[in-house]
Amino acid sequence: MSSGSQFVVAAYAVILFALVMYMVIVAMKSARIGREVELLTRIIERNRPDDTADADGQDVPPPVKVVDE
Amino acid sequence: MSPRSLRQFRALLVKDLRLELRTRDTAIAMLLFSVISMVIFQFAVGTRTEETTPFAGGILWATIALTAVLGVSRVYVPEREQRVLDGLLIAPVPRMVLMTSKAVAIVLYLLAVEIIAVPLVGIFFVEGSFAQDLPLILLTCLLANTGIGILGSLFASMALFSRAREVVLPVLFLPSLLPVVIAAAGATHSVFGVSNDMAEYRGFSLFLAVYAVIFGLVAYATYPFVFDD
Amino acid sequence: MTDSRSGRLLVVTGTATAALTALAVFGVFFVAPEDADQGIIQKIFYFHVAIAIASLVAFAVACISGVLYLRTRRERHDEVSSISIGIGLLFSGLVLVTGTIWAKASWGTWWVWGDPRLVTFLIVILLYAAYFVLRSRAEGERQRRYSAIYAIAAFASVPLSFYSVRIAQSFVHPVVFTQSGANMPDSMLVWFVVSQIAAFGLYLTMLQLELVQRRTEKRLRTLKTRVERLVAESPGA
Repeated sequence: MSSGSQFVVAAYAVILFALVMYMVIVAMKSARIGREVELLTRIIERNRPDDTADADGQDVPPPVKVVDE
Repeated sequence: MSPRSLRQFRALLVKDLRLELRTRDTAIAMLLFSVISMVIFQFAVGTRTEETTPFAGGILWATIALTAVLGVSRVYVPEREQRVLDGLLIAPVPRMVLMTSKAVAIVLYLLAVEIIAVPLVGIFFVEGSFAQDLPLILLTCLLANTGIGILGSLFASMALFSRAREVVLPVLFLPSLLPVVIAAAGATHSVFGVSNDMAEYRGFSLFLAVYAVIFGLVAYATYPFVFDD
Repeated sequence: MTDSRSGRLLVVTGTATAALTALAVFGVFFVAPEDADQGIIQKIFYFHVAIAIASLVAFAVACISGVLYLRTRRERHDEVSSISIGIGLLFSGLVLVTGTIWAKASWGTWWVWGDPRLVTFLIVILLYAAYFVLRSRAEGERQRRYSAIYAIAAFASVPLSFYSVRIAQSFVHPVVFTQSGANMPDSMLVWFVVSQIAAFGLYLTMLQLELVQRRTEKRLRTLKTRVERLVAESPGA
């Protein structure tokens, strides 16, 4: 191996580092979305029994529907 | 341009200039600011070297670029007060005319500063006589001002509605302005004082003209969308 | 496009990009000949230049999407534009870092003002970092509109910055630094092309990934407001 190979290794390591960091950022965003979904699920579940107990069976709010575009 | 929009353009520009002539807020501030910048450059660079002539072009254009930020940030001041802008935007004035009048106002403010700043840089930093170079430098100023004005009008209008506009404007404005500073400094350097390199001057001037044309096209395409509410 | 389709597309591009990257690394280090002049240092070239070109393409895509946004006002174009600029900025940062490493290896200093390409990428980073400053200072429709306008104006500045830096230097130092690559033998060019396609693939993969993510986020927001309304209306609350 000729001299200067440490520079080549360094250059490719920097690219690898950046890609991994990018992955971490994307993963963090995904994790936040996951947490919020979990929170929403819990809120819906907590409200469900209330609705069926209080309502006369008629004015139960419609189930939450995911909107499709 | 139709005669109608030409009339509107003149009315808008005259309004801005008349306000400026009455208060003299912006031009005086810009002028003082440019002189202060020169003094700063002298102590940052000038005191380290024997001869400042090679730096004169650079100092002039660094000064003008910073001064331009000041002028551009002030160009909508008349409209900001008492909801003048709302009235202007409701009036049947094409956005293009409004934006162009602001661009021309910036060009004129800068020209007012340059008329004093260029000879001052000559006196402060150039050894020997420089009076014979002033016409060529004036041409450089006109070319550079056109680019600065087109760009400044666009960014000033965009900064108008954003939060913390004093911070946004320089950050937006200066990177795009860099080519003008580089080329104008080069052109000035090539003729200021003893140096007299016409080939170089022509190259830089051509670049400044190309810059003005390209941003003129960008402005033509984007100006109508800036105030679009 | 439905979620499942964009998801499948992402899998396809992602897999293809991974395979191409592996192939490119293999080719660059094991098959391509070593440069006679620069030796092994020249191997930085393959990804350095590929990523540089990919970042310029990303900025071009952002500019075109900006134009499309101004014409159609569809949010999708704004998303593509802003994501492309983010990716382009990341790539430009990598170009700058690998460029300084190359400068250190071949000229002995980390930074060379004499290389117009390196200096241009510094300017490009400043130019596009300002995009996010502008974007964070406005909201709603205005944010998208200003972003589109700035994406167009900034893209016009890129070639102008490059030429201004170059003409300024051509007058000062007549000798322009040449990086090898202008006349590459075919055995190197093949692997450069593979690297270039891999870099484009990387850009496309990232773009799709973030588009899917933005879409999910938007749906989540809709869902959240619905649930909030539901909870407020329910008699138990």
